[in-house]
Amino acid sequence: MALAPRLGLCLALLGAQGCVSYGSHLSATPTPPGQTEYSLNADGLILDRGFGRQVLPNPEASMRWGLTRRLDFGLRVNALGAEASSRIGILQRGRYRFTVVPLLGGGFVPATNQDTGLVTSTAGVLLLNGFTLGSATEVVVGLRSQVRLDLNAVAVREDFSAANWSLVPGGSVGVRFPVSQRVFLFPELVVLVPRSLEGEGVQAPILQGGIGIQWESRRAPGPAHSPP
Amino acid sequence: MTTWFSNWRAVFRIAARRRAQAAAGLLCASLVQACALVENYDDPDGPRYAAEFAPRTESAAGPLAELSVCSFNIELSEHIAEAIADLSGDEHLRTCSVILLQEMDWPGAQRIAEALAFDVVYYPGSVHSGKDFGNAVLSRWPILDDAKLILPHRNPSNGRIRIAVRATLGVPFAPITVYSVHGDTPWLGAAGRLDQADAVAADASRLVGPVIVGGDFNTSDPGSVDSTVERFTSRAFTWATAAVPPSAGGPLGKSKIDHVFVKEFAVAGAGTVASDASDHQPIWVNLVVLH
Repeated sequence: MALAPRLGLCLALLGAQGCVSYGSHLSATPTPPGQTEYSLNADGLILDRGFGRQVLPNPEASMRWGLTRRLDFGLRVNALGAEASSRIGILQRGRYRFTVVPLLGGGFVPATNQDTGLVTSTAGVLLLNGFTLGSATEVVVGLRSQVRLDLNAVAVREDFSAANWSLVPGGSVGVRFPVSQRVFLFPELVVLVPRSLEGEGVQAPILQGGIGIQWESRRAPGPAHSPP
Repeated sequence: MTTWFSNWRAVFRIAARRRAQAAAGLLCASLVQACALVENYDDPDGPRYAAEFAPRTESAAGPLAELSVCSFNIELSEHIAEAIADLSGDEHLRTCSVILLQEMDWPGAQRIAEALAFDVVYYPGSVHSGKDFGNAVLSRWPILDDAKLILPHRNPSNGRIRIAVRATLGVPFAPITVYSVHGDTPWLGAAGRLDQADAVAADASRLVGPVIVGGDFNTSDPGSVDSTVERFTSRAFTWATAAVPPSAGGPLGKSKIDHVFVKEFAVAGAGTVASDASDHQPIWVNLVVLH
């Protein structure tokens, strides 16, 4: 095989290794109205596919659009998966902000599936607690709970009981801080403990960590993240 | 109220602009819908095919101290003539008394057995590309007993089952049991493929006497070789092909996915031979019986 196709396949497989993503790199502050926020994330996953703990890469990109001061909408894509979410600002007290993030995602999982999944879909909620430090730095502590459905051809075509349901609760901690007027870095660590709803109990914990670089399309007319 | 209405209009405008993404999502979903299930042979008793071509000579029944075993995944049984040339021409392969074949149909397995004068037993597990897709055991000694093992799990993309073929061979000193194994591809997750290897190892470990397990275990992803080997070595098997170089081609280069595990044998030699008959190379092992 020529080098270029082989390299392409290599990159595709590397990407496919990380097509299950649990990070968010989301602060508790919705994107301001009229602005578009971009994020490039370089994450790694530590999970157990049956061979013991392995580290897999997970590059991803996201865009978010500010709709109101308390509502935005975003899409996040990685190698073979995508997730849509919306940040809904619920509460702000001084330097504390509480935001709810419903999310819906899906992905193709040929290599990272624990067992017999081919396509996975998740639906869940993130609860983000943001603590503002200084003028633009935000520490984010999150709790999440997702329901994950792993589908395969047998489940789709023949017997839906071949699908695997699981509950994926977990938590995250991250900090978003500015490196220039419009550019932010966002390191984040996520820990999840999947639990099979098929009677197989708790599975090995999943760790995802990495750093995102985020920037906005243009400055807001007022303070970047003004209170509602 | 007006503000909220405007906000929701904005949401819907966003949604409309993203119809392209939604269409892409639907396309993905339809691809999943289009994943047709393959035809499997779920009956553990068959279909079964067998034939006898081995001559019943004095030498075949003589005392036995050593024997050679080959394993060869002949891709979809497409290049049988080239495979016969390899198996009969190479100095290591032509000494094999037992040949374990994968990705076979019955005409291909029968043709090889007849050309090399072996007895043969063959079970298909499913249909692939319009032909039966299964495993065969070829032996210079009589095949006394045989069975088809249906391995756990089905392929996530098409529901294909995988099988192993077990055969007990009437060698002069004592019966030997051999397995021809073909595990699933990485479409099935790592844990699922380990379950398949574990099923074979568990079945083989229950047997008394010498055992040989060989075939294509599809251990192409990092970590899977060690984990698969551990399933056998923890049950008193020796990894006979530990020193054999990678024998199968793949998108990232050659992989070590064909293996032979033995019990109650010492390994005198092992290797692989270049071949144009398949995307795999045949592997061989020379074994010494431990009395």
